[in-house]
Amino acid sequence: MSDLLEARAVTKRFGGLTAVDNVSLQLRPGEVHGLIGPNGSGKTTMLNLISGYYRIDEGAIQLGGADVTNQSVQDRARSGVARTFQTPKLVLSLSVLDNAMLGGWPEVRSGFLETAFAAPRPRREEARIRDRAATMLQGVGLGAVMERRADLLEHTAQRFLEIARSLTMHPKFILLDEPAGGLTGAEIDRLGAIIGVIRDSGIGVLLVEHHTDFVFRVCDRVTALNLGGMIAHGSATEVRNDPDVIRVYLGA
Amino acid sequence: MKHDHIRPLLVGLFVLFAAVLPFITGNLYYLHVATIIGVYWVLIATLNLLVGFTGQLSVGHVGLLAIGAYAFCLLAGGQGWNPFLALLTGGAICAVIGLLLGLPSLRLPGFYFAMATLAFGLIVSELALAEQWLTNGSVGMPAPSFPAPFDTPWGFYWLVLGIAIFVTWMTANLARFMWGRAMVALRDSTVAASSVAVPIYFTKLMVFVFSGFTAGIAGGLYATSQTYITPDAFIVNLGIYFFVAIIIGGRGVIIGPFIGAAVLAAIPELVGPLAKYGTFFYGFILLMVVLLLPGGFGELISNLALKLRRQDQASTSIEPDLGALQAAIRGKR
Repeated sequence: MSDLLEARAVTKRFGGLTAVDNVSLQLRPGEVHGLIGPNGSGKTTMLNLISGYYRIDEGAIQLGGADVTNQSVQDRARSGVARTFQTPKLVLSLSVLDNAMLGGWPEVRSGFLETAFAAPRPRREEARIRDRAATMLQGVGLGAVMERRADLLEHTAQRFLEIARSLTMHPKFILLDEPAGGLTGAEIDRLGAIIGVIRDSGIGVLLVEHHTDFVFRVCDRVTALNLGGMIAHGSATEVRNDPDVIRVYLGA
Repeated sequence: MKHDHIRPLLVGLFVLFAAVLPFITGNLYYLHVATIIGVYWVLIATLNLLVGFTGQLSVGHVGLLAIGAYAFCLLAGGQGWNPFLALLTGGAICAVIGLLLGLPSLRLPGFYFAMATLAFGLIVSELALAEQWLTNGSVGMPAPSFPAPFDTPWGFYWLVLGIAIFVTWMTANLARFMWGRAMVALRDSTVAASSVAVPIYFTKLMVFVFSGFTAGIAGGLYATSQTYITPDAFIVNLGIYFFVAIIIGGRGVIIGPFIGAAVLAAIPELVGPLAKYGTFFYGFILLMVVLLLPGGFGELISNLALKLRRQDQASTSIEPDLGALQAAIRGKR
């Protein structure tokens, strides 16, 4: 059991408020794990704890059997944890291709001086990362706009660009923070297809999402949060029919 | 960051023009101004990486210029070192000082970093005046010249030109490969940069040390170009002018600040009878640029270039190619 990304009894407090209270979840390779719950239930906080943007107060985060609780965001990214953001975080002054290429950073070995002298290694890395980023962009459907500046992209395209950037990292796990937000029905279907391909390729996906239909359609397992606590977890069907989940979140 | 074939052509033409400049103008004074532009450029080109690309607002690089200049004069003049060795040593000293200054200050948020560099510039300027045993205080010291064939005005000009081209080449390489993307990424969004494992503090530090090195080199060249240096030459205003040159030129464009460097060097010299208004003109141009051209001349030029190329801004529907995606994801080694 060493290929998991695991949160063990994780607690996070902001001042007097307990945003996440004793929550555990396991991401497995090749599986989509949904994280649902009302606003303020701690979904995004949980994602920030797993990716390292927040320090946890109690509990532990493990990746592949190793404790990464005290590792920086960068360390975790290098170890194969990629993520997207609720509001896309792109480098707006760079082109779409440049943004996707940023996902190649974890594998850059060329030093500063080597790059200043345009040695063979930075050239090789550049070509390799450019190729892969371009393929990922083709794959998510942004092949036609690769040279465009990222700030000229529409909202949906920005979301898909973040996914392409994450995939360029060759991650083991990818954490998606409300990727369907602001998307049309047809676009959500395409997103679902992309997530399917990611899962089938052996990457573990954490899906934080409000579109519950979408979550229950694409997720293998689901965890439901309310007020920072876990109220249900299990297969999509189990959670969908859980009385507590229906009461606080889904509605009758 | 890919461009057409026009750009290499323009760069080639400009280098050719710069190389034959001594034959075009017999006027030694113009040649001197061109040399000063080159000297400033050696500092500003890499300061642009720091300010324009990485977003770290240093206004104290004049301190590094001064240290480079004094180190060069003391080593090549007083100690009789080979001037080239003295020049490189001055650069190395400034790189180390850049490291020592950067280690604490690059952790500070933008505005406070600017204040720290300003303080550094002020301190160096005061020390140059006060530490007479080392710097001769306000009396100053003569600057040695380089050995033949660089001991003539045009010989020295070509030396400066060669160094400037070399520094520009390194700067352009840093900007166009992955390090350049990392710099811009951490400037625009530290959250995005850290999500792809960009080491934010380390990247800033490397850029700062590199810009410190070339600022030291520029200092040595500056000393020779002036033949004699005094603390007056390194007042904090000059550091602010360097910063302003980048604002005028436009941040994040390699060649943009060259316009700023040219304006900086040319104004006090070419305005001639109005020399005492030099600072006034500089302030005036800055005001105009900030009000009318917030992106500087560099952005103006790149926007024009963008307009010339056909740009399809129509919205396209996103059609994922799932087969290609799967192949790409599984294509890992």
